[in-house]
Amino acid sequence: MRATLGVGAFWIPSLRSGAASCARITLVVRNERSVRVPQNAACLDPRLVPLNATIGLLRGDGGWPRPLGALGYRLHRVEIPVTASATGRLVVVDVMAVRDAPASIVVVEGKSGRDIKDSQARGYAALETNDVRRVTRVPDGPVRVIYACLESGLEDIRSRLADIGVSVNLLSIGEKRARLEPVSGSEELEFDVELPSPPPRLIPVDDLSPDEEYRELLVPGIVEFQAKGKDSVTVQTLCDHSIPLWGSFGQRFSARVRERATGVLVAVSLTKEFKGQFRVETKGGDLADNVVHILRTPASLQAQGETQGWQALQRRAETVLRGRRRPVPPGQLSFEDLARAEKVGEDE
Amino acid sequence: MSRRLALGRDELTSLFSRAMSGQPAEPHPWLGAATGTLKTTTVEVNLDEESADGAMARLAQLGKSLGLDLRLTEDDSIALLRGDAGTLVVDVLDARFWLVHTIGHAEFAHDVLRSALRRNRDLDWCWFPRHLVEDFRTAGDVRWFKTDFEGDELTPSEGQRARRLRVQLDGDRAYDLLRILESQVDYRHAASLTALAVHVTEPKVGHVLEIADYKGRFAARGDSFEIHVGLVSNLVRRYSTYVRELEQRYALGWTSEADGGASLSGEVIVMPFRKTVDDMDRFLAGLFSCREPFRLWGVPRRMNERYLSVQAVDLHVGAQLPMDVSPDGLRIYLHQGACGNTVTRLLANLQHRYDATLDMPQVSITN
Repeated sequence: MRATLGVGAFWIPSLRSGAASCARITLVVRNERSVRVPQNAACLDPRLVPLNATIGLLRGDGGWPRPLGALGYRLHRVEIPVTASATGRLVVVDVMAVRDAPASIVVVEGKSGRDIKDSQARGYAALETNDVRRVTRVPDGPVRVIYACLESGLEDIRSRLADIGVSVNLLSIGEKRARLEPVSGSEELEFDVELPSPPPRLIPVDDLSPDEEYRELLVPGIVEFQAKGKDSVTVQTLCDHSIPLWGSFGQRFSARVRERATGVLVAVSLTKEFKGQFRVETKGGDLADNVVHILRTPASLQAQGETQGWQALQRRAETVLRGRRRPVPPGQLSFEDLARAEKVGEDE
Repeated sequence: MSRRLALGRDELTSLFSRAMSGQPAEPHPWLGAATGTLKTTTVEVNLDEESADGAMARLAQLGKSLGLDLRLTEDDSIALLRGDAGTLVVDVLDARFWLVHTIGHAEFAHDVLRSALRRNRDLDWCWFPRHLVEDFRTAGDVRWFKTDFEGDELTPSEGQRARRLRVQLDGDRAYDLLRILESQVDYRHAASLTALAVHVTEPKVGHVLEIADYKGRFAARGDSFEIHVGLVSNLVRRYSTYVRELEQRYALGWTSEADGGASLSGEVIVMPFRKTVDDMDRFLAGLFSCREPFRLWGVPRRMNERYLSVQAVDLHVGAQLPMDVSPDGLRIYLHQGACGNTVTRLLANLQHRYDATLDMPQVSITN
């Protein structure tokens, strides 16, 4: 296995950029072996597949099976920091689910790669009920740890956990199936279910997602405000409308998302497809004042021209987002229209 | 603003009842000439603040932009919009779902409302899902129905047993024919219910021949405004509950919690197709054509061989409506603050352009 040192948290799902997560992310070993992302999740930032899948398996969103929900668990929190008192180690729990009767707490760490952080795994394994109860109101039951992994990374993660002597439940997420392998004492969690579709896109991006994922959300965001007929919109408002969770994970996370969004918007505004559609005005170092000025909108045109204007904008967006335009299926003959036009079958 | 007209609900009930029966012969000084039919259109209005005052203020703005003269009445929730060609009586008792009546020509009301809806993103028709129109038949004897299905844009030109279907039947037990169409496996997807007419008789009250369509438009003849407005109110109330349930139960929202985590509320809406999509390219091109009636903008992104994700924008209201599309159905992510009417518009129009049997089984319609 080749590994290199890289700056950043390429493989680590993180929705927070606060002090807690900074402690766990500085330099990480980046595994250069590729991890096969389930094809059915190709539209999601791969790092976020385990999180979205876990939430799907809890809530049954979008037609997904909900084996965890069927056991009585419900989603409690996402990205909640908890300190394991036994080790003093802080972990930011990606997904926390709870059950009232019998009382139980499930904490989930999402892993989209093949690696784990040993200290983090030990921190998870050391979590006790009172550690969780000190920070959030949960039922007084045992803590069960699940590592949610992509199927292709499961064996490496299993192996590494065994090497360091940490025993946790393993959730494997594949293209067609999700399987939970329980550890002793958590047998009731075991399931093996068929997945009918990609995971519901409840968390489409975070602050570490690649630019292309931001473009997917922000270009339609611009179109939304063009449709509203607005002259301008702050980047903050654009984030509110396009990145639903951006304001829910603390100020540092929000600031990073806004910064990322601004960079992506500036880049899109300079493409030949969107030049003249909008521009981004950045004011000094205060990101809160970044403003998108809408320069043109089809909404200002008359009915026929407006539709054509939106269609033209759609073609521009296709080029920016997909690199090509989608072929338009040829128009179809309507016998009703033809008959009407040719006065056949019509009364005088 | 001029002073209030000496006109209240009692007087209007009496005036409308007479107008529905073809009286009076002379034009009314405020309502204009009666055609013998009372037309009522239901309109959804998204106000910043849902109140009678807010509704009246919005109505005043609309009247001005449409070149119509606003006249307030004795009743705080009723006002008149008057133009050269007719008068609209606007009832904002439900500040979000307005009833717009006219005894004049339908063209006037339709043109004014269409223009208003086109220009204003906070106004929309009420898009009654099939079940709602269907249940309307229980109000009385069905005398007429109309099916107007246009599947051209969303389905391929070959291999379809029914791309367009137009049927209307006027006669006793008219609804039986629609039932027959629905029972045919090859045609049930095209057996949309566009409009329905029922005859309602209430002993000691009167009678009404009432037509309702899936865009929330009504036309009534008879002698009882009470019966007419009762039918309309019942449907609008159920529609309102349906739309509000969509928003309250399904709108997805993340909330920052005091303990540092975030919680999620809402659910993903699932719209399963009974008729699977054979030609996905055509379906997507039709659905995201930016044209009426869907008015959806979007650039589909392939997830796998069956699924595509689309960060769609509803151009009518100017709001994002992300969805995943597969041959087996739609997954819709309604964001907090988004309007449930956007989803009902999509559903009602898919029922008229793709599959009349389409439904959202998660979401119930209450009586």
